[in-house]
Amino acid sequence: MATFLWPNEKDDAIKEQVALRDLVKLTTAFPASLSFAHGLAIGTAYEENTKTAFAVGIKFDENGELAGKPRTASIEVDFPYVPGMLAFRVGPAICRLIDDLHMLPDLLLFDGQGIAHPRQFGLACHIGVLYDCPSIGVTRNPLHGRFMPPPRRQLLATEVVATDSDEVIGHVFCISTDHNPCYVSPGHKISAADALHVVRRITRQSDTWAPGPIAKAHGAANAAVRRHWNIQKKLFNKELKP
Amino acid sequence: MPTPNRIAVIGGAAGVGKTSLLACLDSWVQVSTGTLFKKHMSLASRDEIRNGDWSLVEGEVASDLRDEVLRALTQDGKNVAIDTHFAAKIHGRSYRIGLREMHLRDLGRAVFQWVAEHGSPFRADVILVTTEPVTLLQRRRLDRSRSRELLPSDCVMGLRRNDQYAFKYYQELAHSVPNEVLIQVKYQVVRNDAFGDTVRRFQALFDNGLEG
Repeated sequence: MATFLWPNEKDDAIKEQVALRDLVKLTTAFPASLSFAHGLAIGTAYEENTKTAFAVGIKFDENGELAGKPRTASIEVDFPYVPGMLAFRVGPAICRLIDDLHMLPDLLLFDGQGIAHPRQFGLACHIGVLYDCPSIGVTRNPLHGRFMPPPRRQLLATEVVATDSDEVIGHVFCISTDHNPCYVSPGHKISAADALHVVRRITRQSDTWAPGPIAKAHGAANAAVRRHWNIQKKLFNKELKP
Repeated sequence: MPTPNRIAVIGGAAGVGKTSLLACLDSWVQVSTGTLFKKHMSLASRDEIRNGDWSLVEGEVASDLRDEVLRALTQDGKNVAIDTHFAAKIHGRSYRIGLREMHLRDLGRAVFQWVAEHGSPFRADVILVTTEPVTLLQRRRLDRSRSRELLPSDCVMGLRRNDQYAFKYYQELAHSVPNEVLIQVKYQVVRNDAFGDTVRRFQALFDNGLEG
């Protein structure tokens, strides 16, 4: 099986996004009930000192119930932090994680943008297209689009609209009255409305900034980065000792 | 021995399914421009061709192609299928037409000159095999015969450039037909999204031709 090549220059990365964005489909590939058997929430993090990207996948079902143990993949990636280009920093680790699975999940959920992105091609779109798999992006911070925040009431949402048209490219979604809302946008093979519907359905009362599966995957990725750096520091200190 | 009465130039992006479809024409002589380029560039794999400057050997490849097509028509007495790319990556970065217009015209003139001398009705098909970019991306990803890294945008650009240059091949061959000679030159597009259906449609292009 071939592995995906990821450009490591910013200009080439932009060309890659522009070339692939027309492949995004925003019609929902699920049945009308939006039921699915296996979802995979993928959290990502990057360790700057060792230039290592981490991806942690946690399975969930259509009601947000977690299943199985988290799986982790990591790989060295030399790409700077550039807003709008997260895929080129963590994408290789995500692909390594997905390539190791026995079968593709029915839905991928990412801590990143979908089409609510300057080039309409965020992380969720990019990976969704590479594997032709339905995908949704959920983030804490908006990157692109116009919106009014929803009232602080659980499960309320308002639309995120494209800056240059009336197209709805996502939603601002209030998960908890004690936390800022999150931003939900479709990645591939799902509409904006259905992406919100799925995220709403997998959200629990106790969830904080994001639905449980993605919040846990994101936390697990950060924990993996901390563990990795602690190990590297110990190894480095061992080398320094006379 | 029946006089050969057809050639077909079958092209498209790598992985789109040309070689698999060519299996339907097992009674035809098949010439692959990729094999000719690989021979002249002394490369281990065809995948390496795209990273080099294959234009340096283009003249020799075009000459070999013309010779092989004519040998198949005149000596083997068989129809000929040319397996090619209408556009290919060069220097690993940009796309160029597979064979320059002058080589296409030379090929056309050589073949149609032979046809004119033998007086048979003749048909030349230029067939673009294409598919959805996402379909091609999945095929290339899962293709175990190619163990290289895959730049996803190549699937999009490869299809787009082959679409763009396929008609140029048709135009050059059509323009090289001598006057007052009974030669049909046809341009066809075959979408290979579901292989079983594609084989039937591909075979139909040849079942209804001058040859049964």
